[in-house]
Amino acid sequence: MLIVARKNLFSERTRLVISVGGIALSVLLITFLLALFRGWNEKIGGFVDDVDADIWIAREGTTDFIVAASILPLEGADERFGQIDSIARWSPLIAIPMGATGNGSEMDIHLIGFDPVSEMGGPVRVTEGESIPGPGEVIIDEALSRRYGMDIGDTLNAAGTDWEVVGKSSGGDFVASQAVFVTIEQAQEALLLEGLATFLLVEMHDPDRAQGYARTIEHNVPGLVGFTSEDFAAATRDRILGDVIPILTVILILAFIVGLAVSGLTIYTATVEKAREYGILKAVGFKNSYLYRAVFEQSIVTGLLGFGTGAGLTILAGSFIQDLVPQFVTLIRWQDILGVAGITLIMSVLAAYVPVRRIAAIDPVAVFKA
Amino acid sequence: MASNVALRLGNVTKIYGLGDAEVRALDGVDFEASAGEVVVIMGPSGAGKTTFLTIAGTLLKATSGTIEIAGRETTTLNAAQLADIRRENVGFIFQSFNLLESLTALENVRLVTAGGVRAPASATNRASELLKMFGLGHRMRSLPKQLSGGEKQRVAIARSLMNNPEIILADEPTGNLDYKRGQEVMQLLRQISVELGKAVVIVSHDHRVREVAHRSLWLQDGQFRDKIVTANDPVCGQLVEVETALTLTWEDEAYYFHAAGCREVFEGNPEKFARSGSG
Repeated sequence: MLIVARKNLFSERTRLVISVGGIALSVLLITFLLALFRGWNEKIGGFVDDVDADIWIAREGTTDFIVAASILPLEGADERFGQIDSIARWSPLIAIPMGATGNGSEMDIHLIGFDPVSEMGGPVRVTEGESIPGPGEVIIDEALSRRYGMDIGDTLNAAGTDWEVVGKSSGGDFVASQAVFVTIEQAQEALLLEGLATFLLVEMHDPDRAQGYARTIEHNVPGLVGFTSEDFAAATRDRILGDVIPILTVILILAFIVGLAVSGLTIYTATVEKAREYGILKAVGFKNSYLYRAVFEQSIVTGLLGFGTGAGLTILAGSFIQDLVPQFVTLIRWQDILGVAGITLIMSVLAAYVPVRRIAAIDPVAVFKA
Repeated sequence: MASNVALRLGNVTKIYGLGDAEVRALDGVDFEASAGEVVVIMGPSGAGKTTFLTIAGTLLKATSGTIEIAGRETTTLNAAQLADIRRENVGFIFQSFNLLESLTALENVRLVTAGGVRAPASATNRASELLKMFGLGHRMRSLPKQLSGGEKQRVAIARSLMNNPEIILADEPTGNLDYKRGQEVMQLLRQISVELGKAVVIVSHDHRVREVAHRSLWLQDGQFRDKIVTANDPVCGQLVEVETALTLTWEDEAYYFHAAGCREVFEGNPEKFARSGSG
């Protein structure tokens, strides 16, 4: 590092703190937004990803798991699926979003009725208690438990029925609502959906043929749609994040601009204040390249310090905020941290651009004026 | 002597502005300064002294003429090459010292040859030796704001010598110093010239600088003028050209003034100022 850059940078501690603080806040905001996006992305589509099915069949008009208004008759389904050799197994699933009460709180849940024999669409990872609920019993998602203080032995009222909590599982948190698992018979009875389901889950012998089979269903069975598991998960993510991404993008751009403005202004101010000294350096024989390097180094070191502070704060604050605000689901990936480091570098280089132009215009003759 | 010429200006003209606004700051100036020589250039304000110095130091392009530094013609060189010339062959001393405020005395001196944080030991040793030579061995780690004016100027002189240049160009080196510190700096410049073999060119209003000079030149209206008679303004202290200065005779002796205000002050108390002599 050039001595002029280091001395200029560290001799004005207050300015350095403001500059580093500005970039750190910008990095914090950018990293948080990315982590939030990743967290939501993981949670919202995660359940569909984790269900052991290659194809989701639903009523025509269904686009995703979260907002699904699908009702399918199960009569004859076993026979039809049994005739198709490429199908390994299938299972009905009921998933209905609804309000529930428990522990004196109102909550949004997805009541999921799954087949206890195939266990397709059941709890992803049981963390405590029973893995198959019996009559009048439910397994709730951990996120619901944390958010509303629900525990094993508590009673949850949903669909006009009181259910006893007998287990907890993870992987069923959709951020805005959480999964509550009962057997399909219990769900049909409570929801008055005898002989009906919302989805049919199909597992293929050859998962690579899932796409083709899903298309075949759409063409040959009027009123039904078929999705591969990947497509259905992507559509589910898009349902929630499709509207959020443009907002996140705008905030990301604003955060970048704020960071750029703070670092740019402080570097520019520092350069203008030291304009005479840069003139002295020019006079005694330093080339513009040396002076440009001095400014870039100041900007990049400020950026790195800001990045380190911001990234550190993100990691520290991430878990802390998540405990306070359960919806603040964050997932910090090292790839994103690297990406933000790159963004900070771009920010630093851009912040130095105007000061460098200012330096180029400095006339060393001016230093002869007392 | 000709082989020792460190700085040579040939028929140098510098014109500012165009048409009616044209000003000839330098008008066909010829100049030489040799190694081991102190040349003082004096003259009234606006005479072209600073223009001369900045052109001699390759900071300003002449309109016409040639500038030769250490035997190398510089008028055809580009900005980067001129920067190299300044860094290798020229040392600058300024009226306002122009030290970098966030650097210590040692770093200010060393900077000329070592711009990085980790300077070579040779650069640090040379900078230390120079500072010790000028009595600043105990001030190496001091920042400029912790130094007196005289100390700052000695650091600046050490800096000007760091790259071991052939030429030292000094602009009003005593301008911001009191009498005693000014005398010390002038003696130092003489010592540098004689003992280290540098060509020292000083531009100044201060008539005392002539005491250390091997040659004094009078620059007026962009030209050097020979056989000029000068006198010291007894009130304002400036060197003035007798031919064009304001005059007042008191007790059969002529006194010469830089400005009417100086003469008025003299008239108010001639005995006081006459004692200091008019030169």
